Amino acid sequence: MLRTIIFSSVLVSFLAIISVNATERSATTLSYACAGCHGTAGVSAGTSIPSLAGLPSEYFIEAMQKFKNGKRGATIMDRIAKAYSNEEIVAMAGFFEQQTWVAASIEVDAEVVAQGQTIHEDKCARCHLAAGKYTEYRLPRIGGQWADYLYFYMKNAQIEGFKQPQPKLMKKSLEGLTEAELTALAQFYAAQ
Amino acid sequence: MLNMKRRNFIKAGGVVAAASLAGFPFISFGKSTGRVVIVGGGYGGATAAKYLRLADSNIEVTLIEPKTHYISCPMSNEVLAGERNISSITVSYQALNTNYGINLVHQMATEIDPVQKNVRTADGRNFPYDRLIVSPGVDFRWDAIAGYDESAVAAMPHAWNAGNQTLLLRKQLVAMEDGGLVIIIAPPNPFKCPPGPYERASQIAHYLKQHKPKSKILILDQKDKFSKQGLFKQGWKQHYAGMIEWIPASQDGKVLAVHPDKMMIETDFEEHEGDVINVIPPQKAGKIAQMAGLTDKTGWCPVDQKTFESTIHKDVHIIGDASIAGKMPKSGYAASSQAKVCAAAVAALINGQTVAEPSYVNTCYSLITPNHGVSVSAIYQLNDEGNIVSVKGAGGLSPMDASAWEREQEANHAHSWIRNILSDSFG
Repeated sequence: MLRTIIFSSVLVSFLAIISVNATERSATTLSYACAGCHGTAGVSAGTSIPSLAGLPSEYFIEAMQKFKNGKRGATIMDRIAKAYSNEEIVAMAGFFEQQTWVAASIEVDAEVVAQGQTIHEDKCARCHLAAGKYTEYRLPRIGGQWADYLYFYMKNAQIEGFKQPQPKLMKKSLEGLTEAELTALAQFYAAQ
Repeated sequence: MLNMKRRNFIKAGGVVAAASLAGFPFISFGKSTGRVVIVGGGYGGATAAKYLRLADSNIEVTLIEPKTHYISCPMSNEVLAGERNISSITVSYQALNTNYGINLVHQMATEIDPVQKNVRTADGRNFPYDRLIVSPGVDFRWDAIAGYDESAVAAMPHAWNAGNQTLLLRKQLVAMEDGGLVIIIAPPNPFKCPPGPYERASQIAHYLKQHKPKSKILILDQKDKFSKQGLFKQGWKQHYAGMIEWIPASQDGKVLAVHPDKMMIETDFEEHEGDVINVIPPQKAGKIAQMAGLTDKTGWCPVDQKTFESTIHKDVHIIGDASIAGKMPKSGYAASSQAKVCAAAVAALINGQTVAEPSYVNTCYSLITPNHGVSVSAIYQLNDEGNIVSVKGAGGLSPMDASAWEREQEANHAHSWIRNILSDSFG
């Protein structure tokens, strides 16, 4: 937590210095505009759109920067992220980090979830601790995130040439997983 | 994945309601700092009510809206296709009262007195205000197309306000025989939901392709280009080759008159007989805005685009379809985004604070098939002249020639979007 705060404040002051075009749009003003798609206070009600509430600001900033710079592929966020200055992204990151995480409540097939748990323990649990509920620094919480979003993310990661920067270990873990296995993983995490 | 999504729906609603309760306890013990009355409970009015209470829970907020349930126009084209039940896009206003303490008055606002600062409802009650937010949506220009008056909507539905008109058009499509012709008259700019008529053609084609494959759709357009045109045309070619014909205004698309008794449409050179005819009439600001003198000669409401305060009447704000909001389109998302900006401004003005620099967003999905979604998005800011302009180099359309997988993801986002916009505005 301490590391998070130091990192954030260093980044904030750094970005404040390099920016010449600072606008005065507040974190609240900027972030409220996201809610039409991402839900009030970043708690999504839509299965393919991720909840942003409680995301570590480092992860949010990195994701938005990569969308903005074309380093992370997307259907729409790459187009949207380009509209925001670096300090606006930092401001929104701070807003969403402060919101309370609410896990997606979905009905799942116990057998599929069990299959997902096996894959999780085999391939993912080393980093995604506490069944994916652990979150800090650059690691987003995935336990309780929406299943479709997670499925899309993992499936895209398997596509040759799709821009989705991620740790080598994760890329390797996802290699060769079938659609059914990805669905099982997604369901396992969503059920947390 | 699909089965799971369907099952998730009901429980997900519960999550959001719970989140709202936990996140924003709206028991206010403070003294009322001001009275705000909101007329019209669409995406604009409902969002303004909720976000005003988020901004300052000491402001008394009263929402005047005759209906007890709102039926969303976005996604109502899926009802026409038989892909969705209308109940899935119907929401109660009750959560606005329960979760945020907003006073609900289910009456028609019949009179606005901007001098006495009072709103009168059909049952004769008076609602004095410090500031008023009007979100009346659109009204149709009944005098614009010869033969298309309010009595014509039973034979030729507009279905441009979701509800009975949507169900009527659906019923007509179901009753039509295979090999029939569906005609859609698309309106001139500006109008509510610019890609709507073309998504509608797509959704009707989706239904006809499965059940009445010999049928055709003819779009008579009152303009020469339309929103997401390239993406729609590409999608039509891909899924509905030979089924949808689009005739622009300059190529005899312009409608001179409609004849509901003969189910016929007259253009300069042709008479088109249709089995189902959907007339989307030209539009102007909602009736109450006209009656209150909030409109200019364009038929829409000029506003200060930072606060949405009328440039005609002080202390009255107009948001959504009825307002002239710079480069923003008339859409549900735009209305809800404007509502948040307006709510923040109204709260600041009531408390004697400086109005914050605004940020506005519009994202709009269209479904060409249930698995083929396309989108347009823009982020807006205020320029030095006080006009809403889109941020350069950002936003824009889904790419042409995208893979089926990308289109499928966007279709899923469209379905997720409707759940979020409904819960953000009404939950």
